[in-house]
Amino acid sequence: MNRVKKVLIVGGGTAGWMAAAALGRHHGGRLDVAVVESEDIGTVGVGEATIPPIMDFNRAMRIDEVEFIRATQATFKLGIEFIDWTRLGHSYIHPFGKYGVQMHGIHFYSFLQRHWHSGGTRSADDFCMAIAAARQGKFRWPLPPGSTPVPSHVYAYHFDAGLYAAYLRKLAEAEGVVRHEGKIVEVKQREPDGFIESVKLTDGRVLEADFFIDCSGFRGLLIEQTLKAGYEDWSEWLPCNRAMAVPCRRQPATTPFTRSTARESGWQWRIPLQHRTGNGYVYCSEYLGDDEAASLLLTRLDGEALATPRPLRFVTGRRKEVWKKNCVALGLASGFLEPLESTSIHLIQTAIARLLFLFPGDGMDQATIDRFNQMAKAETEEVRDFLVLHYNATERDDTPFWRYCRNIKRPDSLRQKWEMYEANGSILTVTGQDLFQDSSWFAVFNGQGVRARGHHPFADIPSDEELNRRFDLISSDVRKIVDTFPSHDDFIRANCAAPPVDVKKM
Amino acid sequence: MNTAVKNVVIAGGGSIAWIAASALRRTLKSNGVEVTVVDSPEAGAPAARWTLPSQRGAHAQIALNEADFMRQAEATYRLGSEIRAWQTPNGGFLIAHGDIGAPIDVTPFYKYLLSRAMQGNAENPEMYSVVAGAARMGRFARPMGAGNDLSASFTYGYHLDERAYVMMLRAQAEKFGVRVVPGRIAAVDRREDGDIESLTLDDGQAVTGDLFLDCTGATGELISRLDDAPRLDWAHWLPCDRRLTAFMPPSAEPAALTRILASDAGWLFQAPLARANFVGHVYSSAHLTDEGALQVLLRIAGQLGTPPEITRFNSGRRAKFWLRNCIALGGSAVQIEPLAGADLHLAQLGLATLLELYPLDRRGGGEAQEFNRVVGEYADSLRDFTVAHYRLSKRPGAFWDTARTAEPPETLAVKLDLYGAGGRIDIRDHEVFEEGEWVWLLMGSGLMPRALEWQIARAVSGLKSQQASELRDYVARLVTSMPRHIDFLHRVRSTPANAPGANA
Amino acid sequence: MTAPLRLVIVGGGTAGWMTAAAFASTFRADQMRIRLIESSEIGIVGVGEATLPHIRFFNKRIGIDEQELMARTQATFKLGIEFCDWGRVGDSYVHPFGAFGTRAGPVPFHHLWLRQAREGKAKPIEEYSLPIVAARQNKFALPAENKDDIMSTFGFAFQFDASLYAAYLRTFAEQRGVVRTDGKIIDVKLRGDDGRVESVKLSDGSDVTGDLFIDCSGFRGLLIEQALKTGYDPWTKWLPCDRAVAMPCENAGRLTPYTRATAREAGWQWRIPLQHRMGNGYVYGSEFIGDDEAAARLSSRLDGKALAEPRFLRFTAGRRRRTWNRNVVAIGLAGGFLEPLESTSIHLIQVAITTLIDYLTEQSLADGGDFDPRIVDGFNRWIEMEYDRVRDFLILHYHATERDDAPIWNYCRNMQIPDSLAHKMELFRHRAHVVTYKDGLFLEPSWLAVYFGQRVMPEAYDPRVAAWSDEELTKWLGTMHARIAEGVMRMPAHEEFLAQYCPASAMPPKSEMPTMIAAKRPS
Repeated sequence: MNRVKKVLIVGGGTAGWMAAAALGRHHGGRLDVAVVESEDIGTVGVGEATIPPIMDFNRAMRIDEVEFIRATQATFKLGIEFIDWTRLGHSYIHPFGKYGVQMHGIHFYSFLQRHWHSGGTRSADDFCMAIAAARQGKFRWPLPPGSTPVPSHVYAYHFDAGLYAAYLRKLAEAEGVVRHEGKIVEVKQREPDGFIESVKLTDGRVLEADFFIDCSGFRGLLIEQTLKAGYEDWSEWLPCNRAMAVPCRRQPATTPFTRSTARESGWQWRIPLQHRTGNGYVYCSEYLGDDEAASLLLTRLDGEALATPRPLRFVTGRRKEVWKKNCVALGLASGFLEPLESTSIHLIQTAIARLLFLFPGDGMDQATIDRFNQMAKAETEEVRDFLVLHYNATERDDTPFWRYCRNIKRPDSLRQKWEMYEANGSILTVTGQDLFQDSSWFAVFNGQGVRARGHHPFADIPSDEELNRRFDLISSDVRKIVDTFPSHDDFIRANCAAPPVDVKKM
Repeated sequence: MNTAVKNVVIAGGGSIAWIAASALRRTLKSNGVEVTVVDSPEAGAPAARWTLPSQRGAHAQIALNEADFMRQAEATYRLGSEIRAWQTPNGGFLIAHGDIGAPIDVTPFYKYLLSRAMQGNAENPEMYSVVAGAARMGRFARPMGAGNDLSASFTYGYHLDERAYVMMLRAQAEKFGVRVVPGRIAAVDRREDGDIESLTLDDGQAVTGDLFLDCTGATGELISRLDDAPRLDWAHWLPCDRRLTAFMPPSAEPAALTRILASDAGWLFQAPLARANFVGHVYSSAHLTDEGALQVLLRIAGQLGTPPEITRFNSGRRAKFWLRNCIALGGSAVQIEPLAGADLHLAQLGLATLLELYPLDRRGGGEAQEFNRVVGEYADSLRDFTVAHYRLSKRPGAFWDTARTAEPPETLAVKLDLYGAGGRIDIRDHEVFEEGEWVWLLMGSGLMPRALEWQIARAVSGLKSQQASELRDYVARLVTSMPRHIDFLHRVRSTPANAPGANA
Repeated sequence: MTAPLRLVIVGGGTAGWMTAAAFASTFRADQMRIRLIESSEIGIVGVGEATLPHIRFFNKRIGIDEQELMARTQATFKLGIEFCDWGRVGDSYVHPFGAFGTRAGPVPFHHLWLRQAREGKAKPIEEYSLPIVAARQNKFALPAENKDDIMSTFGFAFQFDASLYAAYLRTFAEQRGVVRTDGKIIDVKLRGDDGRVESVKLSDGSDVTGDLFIDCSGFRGLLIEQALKTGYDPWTKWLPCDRAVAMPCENAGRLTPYTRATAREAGWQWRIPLQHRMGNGYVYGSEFIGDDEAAARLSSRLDGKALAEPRFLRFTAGRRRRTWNRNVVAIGLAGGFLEPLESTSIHLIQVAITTLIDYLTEQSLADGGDFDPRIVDGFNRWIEMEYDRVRDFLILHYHATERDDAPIWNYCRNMQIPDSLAHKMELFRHRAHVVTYKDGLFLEPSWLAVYFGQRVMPEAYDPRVAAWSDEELTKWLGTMHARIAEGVMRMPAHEEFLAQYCPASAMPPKSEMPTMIAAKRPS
């Protein structure tokens, strides 16, 4: 195998253009990067919610934040509100940012657990700036570290996935990435090792490359249809296999958070953008028909629908080998996890980061490929576990779907985490390795009603009085600081309003 | 004798010289072309300037990143010019780098405004223009979106500090391997066949070359020694021949706009830079003394931050820019008042034409003739655009009467005739401005066509005033959504070096 | 409400009916009354059966269904024109409706090709043009819309029966309110004060008055010349042909998706394949060959059996000094004549019509034809430019030849050509630079086809090509070549495509209709 010089990204869309922009940005003239996509094939994604690590990607791409927000009709996101998940009528927020402050070297929530064990009734929400701001529909850029007694919130975005891809395309093309328009009809493998050599388009063009990135979506044109990398089905844990998506007119006030509402046979997302709101119903076809899902979704929009609902089908799971031979799969081609925790773009981004670190030079090295695949597996499994937690830790038994979910057999890895939390309230994630940090697990355990029986021994150090004093101080700081925030919409208007959507063309 | 043209010597150290050096070297490196710049002053170069959007293309050609440029050249953005008091004492109009409204099917929107104006319902075209709204309200964003999106309906140029810009361009040229020889030109040495053989500098050093670019500015130190053909003089159309300039402290919140204000013997300008304002007075010495010109400027500007500098110029151009093995670019080729801000643009069109026609050998085969034809047409079109400002002015006074009543050049007369008769604007093969800029100028000056082309009249009659007012509202909302120019400047000036997308 | 403008079109034929159809589809009856006067006694000059891709804009603009048009005019598709024996006897090249290769960066493709060709690494340039490769294999398909697709790199035009075309347009125009008057004009009445045409008198004694007259009376220019004495600039010194003889024949062999122009001993011969027959003609200089001999030569060089007696036509290449004079606009042969070597006749008609419609203002319609002289001047300048640019291109065909086997070629090879053309040729010879312009016909590929096809070989190419490595160039050209070959391979045969797209078989045979024929044989 010769030195990798030509890279072909198959499929545009979010994954394709993120990869193109990142490669274009970093290869320093060493590679020829091209994207082949077809305007006939629509991209999935009607509105995309992200999580804070997107900042790292944007920073690496040296994206101007305000221009990016304006170009993608983006809004800010402080977390996700989960409604009716624990039980009907219940709501909690998984925030971006920490609860309270660390004391005695341990997490703040350990002190809350102590407080609850001794009959206290304070709510964890009172100690989290992201939750406080989200509940009040407020936003501002985070306060600089050290300027506040409690750590400030962090944030992510909601944006229009189509505009995001277009924005990245512009960046990528400015870096010399070439775009080919066309549909692939044939993939050619070379003898004898089965490496992909080229793809052929409907009009007869043949595009050759040394390395391929499959961003062709769920079907996995290269990774599966050609290379038969195999798929691990996770439906037993995450039974939803359909989604119905529809945008609707926006509300006058936009929330700085994504909303996820548990429904009879799945859940509904709501993603506010500057120009409209994205909505969708993720459900399990065994419990709900497509037509019914569509009509239920349409009755549960908070604005006039702007299109007819678009159905999506999927099987939750992961590609067994996301890197096989000279092909790496990104995005849906690498696996599917429902967007309950807005992880789709994140998983693309981490895969790109891994790929950049392990980018092949002279040929494909199997040890590198194995390492890449191992890491991908660990990461998706972690997300899977986190998602399963939402379904499994519920009191709901009002529909067959939820009765099924309550009884899902937990994956071993989740079972262990869960038992540990129940036993002594501890979570141990590793910064820089685990996607969801302790505060996220805590938010969801706590939000979904999983109670710890014990707590960390150091949490008993302060006296009741002392602890109460600190609790008062911290919660009032949070309140006072958040009071100074402008409303989410005012903030956007003043800083990064996107162009209003064009009036009908004359 | 017939040899390859490998050594290019560029005389002059202004922005045009450096851009030409980088572009030639970068484009023709594989041909073994070596470029030497004799870094000598460019006569008549301004201390700061305003440019057209083509400067962005020029920067892309020489791999200059926008954020770096903005920071180092003390630049601000420019969405157009405001032309004040050329018609009525308090009236003014914009010539902006963008569209008025959105096309009605394929008919430009301004035709609708013309038709309304002809029925006695004149409206300000700025109300329908995103670029005008942004310029007026001190807003700025880069165009975004695609196709006919109004958010993509404009483009932009810059205001920049010439000295800082030249330093930056020189550094860039050196990066590309351009050789720099400082010194003044003492003599131009000719071969037997009359071509230039070398330049002798004041220290006695001789710089030989195959092809010479004269970027020495107004004096045309090379070309004027080869050329005894009379210049094509434009003074009877463009009587201004002095430029008085100075710097002032910056405005608190500068608009992305060059301001041009008529005076009794010319015009005053104010161009915002990142940390200063560039101001000046362009006037006719036949109608105003230098001292008088300064007094007029002081009345408007108050106090100046730097001592005023006076530059003389003579509007006109050489009949031929490419003579023998010498090509004049910039002030050595064409001198014209900076009203349209197109001098760099014109020089770059010359440079682009040269890249298309870079001589294969010393003998040549029609390149010079083609260059002179094409660039001559460009130059004349810039003259026409500039002259049209005066021709269409209504300001009283001796200076204005002289300028206005001069019989316009044939090509301009034809353009004004066609517009006057049917609202039609025809653009010929090589013009520096497109229909869009002419529309701003012609409508802004208040020239009213006698009628509209019938097809056009029909196309615009389908547009309801309701739709027009929706468009106006939309434009207003869009403008409000744009960041303030000053904020945009702060952000771009704090962008880390070599950011991608900055040129997007 | 003012009275509608009275438009009088003098002469039917292609120019007259194209004008009538275009105006009728543009203006409402309360804005314009359109009358067309033609005499069924006077034959029409079908000035060309082959068209250029631009005709599709015209069709679209006035709302013509092309599929129907093709079926009704026995039309075939046209991808270009084959020129035989022009540079040298035995040469053949195609002027394609589409580009050669695709541009890579700032340098046009032909420079890359030249470098490779010098080193013997390139195929002939025509193999990098999809329409030429398709034409050579008699294939046709509609172009693709995706700009990346190699199948999008060409345009097409039609070859049709001009008389059927006129008839088709007549129906089209009459359905839209055009009134046709059958009559011969015997007198033209000018207005005393300004010399405008007031009315024309027909042989039955009636007068037809009008505000605007369109002179489509053919070469003689009944109004523009005979009445208004506008004057004519002959270009005979550059374009010495002044006669043509036409003779249709039966089809034989393949139905080529291109027109053929073969250089002959005293001019050139056209060959235009239609669905039902072949149009043929010999354009020649009367100084170089007699009429009888020309006819004899033509009939001996037909593909199939002749279907009619030879018909003769006389003309003088040139342009009317002002095609719009007072209230008369000359369109078609009345406005100027350029031989149909590059199928420009219908195109120049189309340009005149659309330019006229574009320039007409509300006011000139409202005031009964008070035409602002500034608009008239503007129109004339535009038409002049169009003619002049076509002229230079035609002269190139005659001048760029190595033929010395006949006096006409010796003359043309040595004649003094216009400076504008000499300059273009010099730049091409010297460095393969093509002088291009913004408006007017014939873009870079057209000039390239003729230069290369007629042996105007450049001594060098754009130096910027040096930035490419040999490997890159070889690959770029190789890929291009393969894509074109493969694209063409998948195209159906021209006949096959025609048969499913626009078969004329259902139409009554009209093979007796004259083609490029007009006056009786000169005595």
